[in-house]
Amino acid sequence: MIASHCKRQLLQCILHHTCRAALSLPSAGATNVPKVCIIGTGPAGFYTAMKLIKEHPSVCVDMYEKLAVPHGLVRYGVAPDHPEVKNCINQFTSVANTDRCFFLGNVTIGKDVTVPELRDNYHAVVVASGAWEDRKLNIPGEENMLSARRLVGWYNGLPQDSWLKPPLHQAEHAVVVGQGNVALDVARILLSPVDRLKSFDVPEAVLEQLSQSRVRRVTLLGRRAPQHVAFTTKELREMTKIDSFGYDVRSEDCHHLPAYSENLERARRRLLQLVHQCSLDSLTTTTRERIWALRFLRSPCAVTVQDGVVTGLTLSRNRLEGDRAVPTGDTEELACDLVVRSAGYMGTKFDPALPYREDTGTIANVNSRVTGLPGVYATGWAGSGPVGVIVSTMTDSFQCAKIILKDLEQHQDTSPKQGKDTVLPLLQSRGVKVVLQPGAERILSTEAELGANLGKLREKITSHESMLEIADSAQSNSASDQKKDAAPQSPGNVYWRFCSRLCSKTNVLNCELQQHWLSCLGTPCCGHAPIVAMRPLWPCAHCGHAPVVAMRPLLPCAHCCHVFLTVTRNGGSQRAPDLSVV
Amino acid sequence: QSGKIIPVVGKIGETLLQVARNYKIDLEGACEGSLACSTCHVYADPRLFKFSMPTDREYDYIDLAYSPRDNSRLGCQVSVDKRIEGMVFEIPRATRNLTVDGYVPKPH
Repeated sequence: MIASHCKRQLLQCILHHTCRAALSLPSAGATNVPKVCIIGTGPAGFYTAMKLIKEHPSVCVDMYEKLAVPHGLVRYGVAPDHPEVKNCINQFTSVANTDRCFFLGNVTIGKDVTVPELRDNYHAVVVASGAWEDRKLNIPGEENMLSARRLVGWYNGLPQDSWLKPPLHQAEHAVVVGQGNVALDVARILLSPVDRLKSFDVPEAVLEQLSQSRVRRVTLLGRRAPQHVAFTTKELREMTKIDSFGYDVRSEDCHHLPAYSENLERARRRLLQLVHQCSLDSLTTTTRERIWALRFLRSPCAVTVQDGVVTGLTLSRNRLEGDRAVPTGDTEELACDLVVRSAGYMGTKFDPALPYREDTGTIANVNSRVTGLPGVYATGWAGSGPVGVIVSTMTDSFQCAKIILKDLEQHQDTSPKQGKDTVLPLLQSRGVKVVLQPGAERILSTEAELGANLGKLREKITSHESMLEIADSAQSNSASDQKKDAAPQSPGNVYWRFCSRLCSKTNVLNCELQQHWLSCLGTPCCGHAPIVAMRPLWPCAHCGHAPVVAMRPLLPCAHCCHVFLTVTRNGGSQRAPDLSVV
Repeated sequence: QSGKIIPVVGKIGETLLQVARNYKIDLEGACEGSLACSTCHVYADPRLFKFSMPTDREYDYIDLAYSPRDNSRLGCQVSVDKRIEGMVFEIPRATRNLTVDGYVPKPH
């Protein structure tokens, strides 16, 4: 139901933007229109844009995104089994579709264009780039630990993590270092039977790997005591209500909680009450097949590896001094097959012009104003550190927008700025394949369509190049024909990549392309769906016609995750190159 | 947020969030009323609690809102019915603590 709703909305949006592109008016250089650019299109970016546009009659907001698609952590961080949290995307889409908002995807600030260059072209620059790196523990054997951030990226289809092959098929006991919401998410996804996950938006290739998983126990380690857990009540409650999950929380670890939490404020008290209740209920659930466990006052000090395979963790036992964890000097071994580090995220210094704080991984700022850089602001996790859910980011971003508007009003010099009128051609001259709104929407609508075919919310495209191809075909189409079967005017950049087991039927293209592909999909001759190739295709051996634009994108190959058959009309005939295997 | 009291009329069964929307009152609903965020947080008239209590799950989200109070509710979970006639619901002014780099002193 959600998929079709999105489709309707997105189709309307594509039409709207096509009209806009056709009418592109040259922008008068000298305008009083304030131009703001926002780096990052997650919640921080969009809530800032939303407030700016709402509170100012003419401000134009250009939103820069390093990926080909927007939405940041809402798309790549929120767990797949929490789809309602992602409803905010609908509001973001409305903002993106206003005339005063412009999306520029596949642009890396600091590499493709710099912050100083943005400052030259905008009245205000907003850093809403989030926190995409993870904090390390700096212990021996850490290279054998899986980063939770990577794992989350992997099961959420983030292209840069799509290559991950966590050894789930040879792991029964996984240990997660950390007791935050991300740690709970990881535990829940690792422990869930695949059937529980398959209707959401986990990529097919990931579902296949998860179906081979033998993980049946996940232990979450906390450096300190139960009263210091960083996860929140709703997430913990959810873990107790999944039918197939049992849990193991020791009563000796938690018996002090009722007395301890008596005078705490309600939120904390309810959380600790729930932790205590888990310790009481544990016994009745440990007969279940899948168990999550909490262990406290333990810090990992080394990962033990044998023959290249993780066999355990050496843990330091801690005690509390007030609220601080202090090692006792005792250690113990915890046997396990997989270790995941979930010790928090960190922002990065992606442009030398930005004052970066190494200790917190944030851009130095006071009340959103970046230190020493007038006209530059930071909001969301980039400015405040990687803590907080949607409501706190939204509040922070609304306030940032208000501060920006106040500064714009008080600024004496309102010389006109060119904004994207200068920056977009600059990027294009640097060879950057900028993804615009129609391109991003085509990617998202393609995913929804694919998902609908598979009975799930969406089938995410996990290859960055595939996304660029889809965007390119949408953008080159949008200037002229809106008809689905219109071929682009030029061959475009078509790449083909074959997975290691070549489907012999892909060598031969039928003029009725869709028919051929459907038949290939129906009874795959090699077990693999057709995929993107590395070089242009030659004319069909059966009918002599040059390949045409595929009517619809196709299923990703379950083995190599490559997707989409995108073929363009290449005009003349070409001698068929030999297909080599990549 | 301006301190004004805005009289509103809602249909039976509509949620407070929907009513706020109808009147273009600034009450956010990021998750669109699906009980998955805390953005529609309101302080409710205490009389509401005589017949309408939050579920555990609603309390879990109220816990994450700014300055929750004993009379906090989520606007998407309170429905209009005859009994709420005349009640006043206050939209909290959410302000972030003014800090440097978002630093919050924490004991550890």
